[in-house]
Amino acid sequence: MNENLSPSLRPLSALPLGERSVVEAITESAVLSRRLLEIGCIEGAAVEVVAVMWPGHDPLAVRIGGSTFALRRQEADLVMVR
Amino acid sequence: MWQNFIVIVAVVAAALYVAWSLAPASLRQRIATRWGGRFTWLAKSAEQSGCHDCAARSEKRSVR
Amino acid sequence: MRVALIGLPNCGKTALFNRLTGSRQKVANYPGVTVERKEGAFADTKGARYQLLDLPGLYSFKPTTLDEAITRDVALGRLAGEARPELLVLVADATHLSLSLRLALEARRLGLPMILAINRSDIAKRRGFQIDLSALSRELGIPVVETVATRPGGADALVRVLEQRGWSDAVSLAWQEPTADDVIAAHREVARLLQAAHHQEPKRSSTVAVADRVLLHPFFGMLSLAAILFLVFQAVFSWASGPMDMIDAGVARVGEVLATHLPEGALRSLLIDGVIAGLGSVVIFLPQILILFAFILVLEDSGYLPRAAYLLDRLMGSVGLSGRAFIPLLSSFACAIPGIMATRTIPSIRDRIATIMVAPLMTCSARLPVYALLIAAFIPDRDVGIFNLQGLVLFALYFAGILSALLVAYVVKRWQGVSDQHLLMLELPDYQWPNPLNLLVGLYDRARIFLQRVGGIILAMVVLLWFLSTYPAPPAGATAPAIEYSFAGYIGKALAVVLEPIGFNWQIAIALVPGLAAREIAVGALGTVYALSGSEEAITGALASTIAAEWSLATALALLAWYVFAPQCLATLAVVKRETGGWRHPLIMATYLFALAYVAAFLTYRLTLMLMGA
Repeated sequence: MNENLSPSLRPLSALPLGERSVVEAITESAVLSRRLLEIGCIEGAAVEVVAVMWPGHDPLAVRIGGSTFALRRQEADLVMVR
Repeated sequence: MWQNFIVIVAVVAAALYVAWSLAPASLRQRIATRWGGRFTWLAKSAEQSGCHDCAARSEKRSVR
Repeated sequence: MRVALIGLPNCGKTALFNRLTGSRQKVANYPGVTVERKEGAFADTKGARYQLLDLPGLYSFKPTTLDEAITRDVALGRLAGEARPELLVLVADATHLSLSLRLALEARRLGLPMILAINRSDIAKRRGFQIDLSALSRELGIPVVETVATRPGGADALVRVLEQRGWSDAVSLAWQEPTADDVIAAHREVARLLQAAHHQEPKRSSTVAVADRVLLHPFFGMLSLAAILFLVFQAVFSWASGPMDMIDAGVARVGEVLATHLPEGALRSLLIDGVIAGLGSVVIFLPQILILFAFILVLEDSGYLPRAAYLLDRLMGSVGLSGRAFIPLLSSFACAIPGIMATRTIPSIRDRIATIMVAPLMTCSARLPVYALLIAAFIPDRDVGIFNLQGLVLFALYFAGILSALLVAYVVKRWQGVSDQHLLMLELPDYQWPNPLNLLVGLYDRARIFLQRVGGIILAMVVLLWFLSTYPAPPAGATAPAIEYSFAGYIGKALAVVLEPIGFNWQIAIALVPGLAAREIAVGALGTVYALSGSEEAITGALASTIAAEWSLATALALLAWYVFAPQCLATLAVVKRETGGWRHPLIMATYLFALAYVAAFLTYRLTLMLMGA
């Protein structure tokens, strides 16, 4: 599914704590990707990881569009950031 | 003697109250519609479930 | 005029609703569904009346939960039995406007006249929020006002706009659900709008950021959560003892007065052994219940709960529950019924059922009098390190409830088979100082409801129980206490056959029956039963010392174990029937809970006896 993306992209779940980045794309998924879009995970949106759980960043808290959301890793995996 | 009378009244009232509270909503509705003409409070009481006044709900009243 | 409030969750919509309607609210259900319907009324300065509907919060008009579907249906006029609102007020949060504006663009397509109310503008302005209201209004094509729902007069701007205009009729558009492309386009449009209105985004609150560094930290966050919980349970015991003693003394005084002024006879027995002993033993727990509720209310208002859900999500996920299940389950600590109703925010039906099935295991506040009574009677008031032993045991009981809920959820999930994708995607709103007045009003409400319950169903049950325990009177020359010859005595002895293996005596057996209507009644029932058994202390209200003298530790612990599980609340089962649409789930629930209660009580009783070498 992710073969055609440039190598500099990584999933949101891999973004280190405190680092800011920009959303590039969202992987398709039945229910989850639509909700992600609705809360503001669109191309070009600024995103910052404000908290992560040990181990494995599941769940994590991200700041997007002025709000903070807690996401499970499988949800954050769908968001590709720079 | 009057003591026993009060006791009997109290017990009967309590029994009716308990029966009414524990009766399923549909039964209460039926009874209320049959007797509702004379006892309007009966109909109102039938509307409410056992927990209608429970403050454990999350609504917050405003304070002016 | 019919007005409806819509908006994202956590935008302060409910505060605005309260500000406009005051206490003139009516809560019911939407016809045919189990979503709560909140309606109120208010009037503008010219006297025109408005009917206000507080619709459930939603992120999008393509719903993922039952709540959101209701909002969409009501706004479209599709919900049978519900008249379509004539005007929408979209409540936006000034501290993060863009998401609300995206929703507003979707709402505009509904064809209803709309007003945009930018709420929390005071907080946002303090953080640098700025916007050109008239420019935004021009671009959107709808009136835009600022509101501060938490201040008196904060909704005046909205009311003024309402009374000015002649509103157009609703347009019946061929409404279509927004597509993903629509959403993306909406986001872009929002960016353009905000720019055209010279929007200055408020800076992120540094207080929230700093607090979250601790409270969301994997280690320190969990530590804080544990600390908060410990504090709650310690407080429930230590802070309450003063007021409890006062109530105890008061009840004893009333009993004395009655005893000296009434002649011997049925009425005196009814009042002293029945009413005073029964009600007194329940009323004494009011301070503890209020303390528990104070903490629950503060935690709810403060915005901390979603963070706790975040911390515990791994745990919930490991048993297959949605992280979103946490808040409904936490509501169940007050009473399982609103907790069960709150599961409507869980998108997956199977998750929802699983959460409903375990909600009664979360220690509801009605169990507190039973726990507190048994702990006070059998657990010494000692300190273990910095912790109070009684508080620790109470915590252990709550923990047992939670643990069993997780285990049962696991079993339910395995039995359900392959599950759908779980959504967490939980918003973590800014922290808020709980409004002290709201807290006091909430506690006053709770106290009032508790006392109404005591004076209502509990009083009635106690009177009935007194009757059944007094008649028929013992034959002449009887040696045992009169109660053993009464109806209740026979019923109790019959039940005791089944309950004896788990250590329950017939007095407990009698008390458990009325306890089916409400858990606290068992305490009142015990008060009456022991008063009629001739125990002096029960009459003066010290039920704890009575049972401490009469029961073995094993029995007490077995009763505690029973209460962790037993479904002693018919009302809960009725709500489960309503929410799941049938008898199947409540029956399964009642069966498994009774089975667990019996087994747990049995094991506890036998183990305790063994360990004590009896």
